[in-house]
Amino acid sequence: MSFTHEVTTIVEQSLAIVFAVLVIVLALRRQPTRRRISAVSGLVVAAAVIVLAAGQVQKGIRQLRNTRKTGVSTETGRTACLAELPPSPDLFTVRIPFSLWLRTQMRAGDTYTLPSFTRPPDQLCLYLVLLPALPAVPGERPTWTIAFGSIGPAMRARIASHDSAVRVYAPGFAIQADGQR
Amino acid sequence: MRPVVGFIALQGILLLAGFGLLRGLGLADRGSRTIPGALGAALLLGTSAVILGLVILLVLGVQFTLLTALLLAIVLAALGFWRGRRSAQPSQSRAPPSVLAAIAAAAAAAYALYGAHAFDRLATVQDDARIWSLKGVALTDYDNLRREIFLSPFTYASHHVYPPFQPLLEALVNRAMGRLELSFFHTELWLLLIATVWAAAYLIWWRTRRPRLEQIAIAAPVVLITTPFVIASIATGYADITGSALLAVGTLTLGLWLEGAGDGHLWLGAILLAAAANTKDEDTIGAFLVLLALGVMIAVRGDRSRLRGWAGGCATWVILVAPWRVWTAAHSLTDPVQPPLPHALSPVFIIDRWSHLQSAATAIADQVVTTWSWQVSIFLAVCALALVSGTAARLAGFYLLSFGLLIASLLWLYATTSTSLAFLIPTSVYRTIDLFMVLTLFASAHILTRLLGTWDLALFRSPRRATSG
Repeated sequence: MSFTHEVTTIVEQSLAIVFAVLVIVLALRRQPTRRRISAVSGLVVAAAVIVLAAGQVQKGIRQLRNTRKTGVSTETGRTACLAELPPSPDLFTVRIPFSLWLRTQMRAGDTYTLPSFTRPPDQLCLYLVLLPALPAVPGERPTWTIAFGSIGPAMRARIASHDSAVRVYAPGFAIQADGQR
Repeated sequence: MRPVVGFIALQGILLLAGFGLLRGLGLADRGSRTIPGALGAALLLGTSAVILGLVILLVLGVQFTLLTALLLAIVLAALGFWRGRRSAQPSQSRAPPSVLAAIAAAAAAAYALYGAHAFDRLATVQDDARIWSLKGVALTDYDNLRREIFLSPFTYASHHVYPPFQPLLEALVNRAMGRLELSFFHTELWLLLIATVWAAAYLIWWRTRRPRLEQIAIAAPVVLITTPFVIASIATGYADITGSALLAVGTLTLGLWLEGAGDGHLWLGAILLAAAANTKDEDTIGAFLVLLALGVMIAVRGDRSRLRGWAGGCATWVILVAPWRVWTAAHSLTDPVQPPLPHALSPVFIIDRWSHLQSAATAIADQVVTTWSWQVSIFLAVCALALVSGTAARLAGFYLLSFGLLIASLLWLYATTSTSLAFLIPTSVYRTIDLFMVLTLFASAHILTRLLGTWDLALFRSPRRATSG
């Protein structure tokens, strides 16, 4: 579709309405005075609009019915973004369950970092799901360090030394308590 | 059950604030007769005023709690009722509604309720999850603009500079419901859309004795707003339709003021445009341009007293819009989508991006024809007929100027942004055109009622019959 084609369509439709008004005024065998044009245009446009509106309402009801069918539970609705990116093999088996598990580990006011994060899901979606825990701002000491996709050398060393502050959920996915709660 | 009760109670509080303000602005009569008609305008104004107040308080560092919101609503309502206690007129006694009108009202109410039911269990996905609800949930869980969400470089992609109207409304709904109910927020957006339609009809009809034919002709174009596309847009939870609907009713209100309505319309318009400006960046520019178009129309006529009123309206708008902009400027927040100012205002810069301009113009025209088609043609035809016939020519001029400026602003935004259009056009044009398209519906309804007002059968009687009659 080109710009000229689209604009021509709009202009043609507009002119069709104006032309219909003028034809009706002339068909009434009256001088097309400004007042007559105004009066007839009101009626013609109103009629056209009512017909269009009737169709739109019908389509609207159909759309509402379809919208209703896509309804989910509150919890599923909040975490729906987790499955939006192109899935990885472990998305449904590890990544989403791990994200939901993380929520049970952290409390309001806790902060976390994601030093070795890999998608999916994307970080903004994960931030939403993990609220009220918050992503720590740079320079802030977080309450938690989360390994999401791969575990860094420091956390790996702590896991090897059986540090109770680190809990491994699955290979590549773990959480480490860092600060005061 | 409790969340639903909280949701309904919140609507009641917002309605109370809205009614008070409508009364204070002289836009609602005394007595219970005026209540059903003014429900939409009251909900729209109450929501706009309370959220605008909360934005200002939040920026000033006042804690955002449900109690703060309730107190604010009560204060606004009290101020409005107090100011309107003398000026408000008793509602005019009217003939009882006909059976047809009662059936139409019942059908409209059923449609609105069915929509509310359809939207109450939707998933939070795409930009809604990553921009609007991320901030909305943060404001539900915390009572301030937490730097981890609103200022952190890690959340840069959630567009820190975007105004907080919709996130605050979402947080207010969650707090009123007593728990996070993200899916239910779509119902709130639907109610707000219904309120805009209702408000537009009320504002056009208020204190007029329009014939029924004319009333139907007004209602029909406004009903066109509920196109399947708009319904789909609400289902996504994006803020585009919220901002555009507020912008459109605000512009309509200013159109009514331009044709001689009282100053209450001007203040209402300023508040609604401020609410729109606090919803999305495009609406901020759009609201500014609509006020500019109004100023031009008044200046052309040389009406000094109206020009003073216009300046007052603009000042009100600036006061309500400035806090968030000052806050973002104070924190040196930038956005990847925003045009690089001041270079983006240079004609040379824009000409240099001619290909961008062409791509954006083609995409916008394509979307307008695909999703709105006849609505824009009806608007242009109605404006042309109003200009040719001389009926409401100034009104048509105002709406056409606003329409043109809104399109120009959108083209400018697309042409000058540093974000790739290959990404931006397919992901946003289909909804950003709401900016000017929703306006066309309300503007058409307004002009149409003026055209229909000139109808007189005597105009078409033969001279002999007319004189003998």
